[in-house]
Amino acid sequence: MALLEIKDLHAGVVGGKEILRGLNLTINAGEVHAIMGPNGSGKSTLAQVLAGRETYEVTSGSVMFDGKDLLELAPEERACEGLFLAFQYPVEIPGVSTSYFLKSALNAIRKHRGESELDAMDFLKLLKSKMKLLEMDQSFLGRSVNEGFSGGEKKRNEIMQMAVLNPRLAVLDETDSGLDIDALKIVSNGVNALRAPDRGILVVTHYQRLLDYIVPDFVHVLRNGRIIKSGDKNLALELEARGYGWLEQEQPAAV
Amino acid sequence: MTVLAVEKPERTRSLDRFMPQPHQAAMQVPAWLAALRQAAAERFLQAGFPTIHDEEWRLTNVAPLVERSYGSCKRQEALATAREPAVVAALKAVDLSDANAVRLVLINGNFIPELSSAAPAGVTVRGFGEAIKAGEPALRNLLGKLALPEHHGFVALNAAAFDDGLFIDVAPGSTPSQPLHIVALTHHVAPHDGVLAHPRLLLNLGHHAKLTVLTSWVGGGASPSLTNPVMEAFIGQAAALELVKVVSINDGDSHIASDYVQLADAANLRSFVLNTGGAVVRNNLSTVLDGPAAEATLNGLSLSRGCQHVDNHTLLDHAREHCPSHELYKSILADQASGVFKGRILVRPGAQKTDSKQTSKAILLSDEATMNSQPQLEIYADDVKCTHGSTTGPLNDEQLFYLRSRGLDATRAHAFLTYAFAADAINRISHEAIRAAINQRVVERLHEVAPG
Ligand SMILES: Nc1ncnc2c1ncn2[C@@H]1O[C@H](COP(=O)(O)OP(=O)(O)O)[C@@H](O)[C@H]1O
Ligand SMILES: [Mg+2]
Repeated sequence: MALLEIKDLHAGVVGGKEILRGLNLTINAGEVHAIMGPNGSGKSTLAQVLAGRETYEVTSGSVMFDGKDLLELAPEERACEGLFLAFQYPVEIPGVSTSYFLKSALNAIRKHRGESELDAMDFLKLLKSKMKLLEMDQSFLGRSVNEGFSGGEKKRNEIMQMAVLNPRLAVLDETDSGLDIDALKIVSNGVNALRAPDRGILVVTHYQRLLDYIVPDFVHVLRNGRIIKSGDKNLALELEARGYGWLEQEQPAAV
Repeated sequence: MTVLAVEKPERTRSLDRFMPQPHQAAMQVPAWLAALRQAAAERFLQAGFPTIHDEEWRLTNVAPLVERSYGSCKRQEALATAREPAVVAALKAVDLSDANAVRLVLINGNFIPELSSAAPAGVTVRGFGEAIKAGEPALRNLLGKLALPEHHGFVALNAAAFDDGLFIDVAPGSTPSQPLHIVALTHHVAPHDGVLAHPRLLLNLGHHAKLTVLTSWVGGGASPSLTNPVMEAFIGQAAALELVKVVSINDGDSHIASDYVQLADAANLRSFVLNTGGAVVRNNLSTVLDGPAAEATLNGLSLSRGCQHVDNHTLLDHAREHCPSHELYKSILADQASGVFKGRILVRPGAQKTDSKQTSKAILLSDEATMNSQPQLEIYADDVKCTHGSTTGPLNDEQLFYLRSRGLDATRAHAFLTYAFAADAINRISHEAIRAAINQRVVERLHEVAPG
């Protein structure tokens, strides 16, 4: 059984235009997929629809996650089932400390899985180790979620949260944007550390650069809400060299 | 004028009932105080209570509060009620044991030394009666210097009618480590009417002194009471005062407060008000930055539900140059609750390099809750920085989704965000133990306002 199976997905802004127009994608456990595409092609819409954002409405198609109908689940249920979205634009939440929020989230997920809740000490140990992995300063512990963080710090914080929550499927929406080359390496290390036979990763990116560090098993090109071409990592290189224009003439690929 | 002369008799008669009877006086009134009271009484009888036709009271209608009849409860009765179980419970409800605070109890404006702890070294604490007997020069020099009867009828009435008060004087250079905790209770004895109390506070900090004062306004009793406190605080040169106020009176009771603070050069004021209870709560806070490089920080948090109405009116009077001021008022409103914030910033000619920032934010948890935020900037100097901003709306969808996408259910995500919103203001309280106590109170209250 596939980890994620998207079939003929049509979705758009509630009451607005259609953005995803018949999208198909299958991700098996252990695989890393990359979705590339020009600005406005629907990459973030896909990521948000998977995570359950209410701004978007699915008009037809299906998404199965680990054998469950993902579209039936509330956002928090999706998270508890093991879905994680690293946001393109992580929101600032003044007044909520990163550690308190993350501890509550992790324990909600653990409870859902029938695991015991982590106490403050064990959680802090886990958190510190993941912060170290992302080379984040300890001072972030006491700070409010993303508040006053630079663009790069926010992205690091996303991956740090992912490492703590230990999802089965991670969707990374333009995690590379706003990162300098050192930060890109750190973030990629964090993602690569999570690669595992029972886990899937979907990397959404505009540029090929990130894929030098997180080498994907499959690359898909999204355009106008559809996957128009799929291939291996070499497709990313080709896109880098030739741009997206040459794909215009080709037939949409079925995946 | 002719019109006034015609109207006056009837008005005066209806206002007369608020005047104290001479035989009720609980303290010896020296001539200077008698004159002050007389002038205030005349002013009150002439002006009466503010109405919604006064610009400053447009959004807070006090008519239902002042049309009611109230009883009064003098010192002896107050002391007697202090032993009632309900009062004992109300006084205990405000627990600040962690802060090692000096507790000072006021019942209906009367200072009750029997229930209060001893003042720390360097600090003089007296009831007004005591202070007058002791001939405290500061009392005579300062009382009524900031709170003028012409400001509005409640200030005038307070000056005309208070029968005790709390005088606190901190010697120059004194920095007591213990905070003062004023527990101010408005309480009446059943089956009498609710009480109309006029507590009066006078604080004087000598130069380089430092003090933290928490004032908890609590209420007991079945009939609605009205508390009309007036506080004047004088912060000497390079002295620092942190004022934390909690209004957690019964839902049927109301509170109309007029607080005044004057800062000398390089003095510092940090104020925080938490409004959790009451039918109508109005906090007037007027601050004058009266010396160069003085700094004022005014923060507030209101948690309202039902038909509660909370109105925070602040004035930052930048009278001198190089003074920063910061202001953050936040409200969480549920049900049909209504909120008002009016922030007036006055930059007088010559108050160059004023740096003032004002923010008002409100979260509406229901479609029927309302918030009215109004900045009022009056700037008469040219080299100044003044900013203001206000936001009102439901909880932020993006933030809610972010939390839920991490595994928190909708209910908990709501609770996180309302708390986060509140904590942003609470965290600006400097005194650690008081901050923790306020935080605890807010957490409990949020369960009621925005049930998890
Ligand atoms: N919430 C929204 N409201 C209105 N239009 C939207 C919204 N989200 C996305 N769109 C539109 O849908 C298209 C795809 O957007 P998006 O998914 O963000 O693309 P990408 O992430 O690939 O740049 C764009 O034309 C964008 O303007
Ligand atoms: Mg995008």
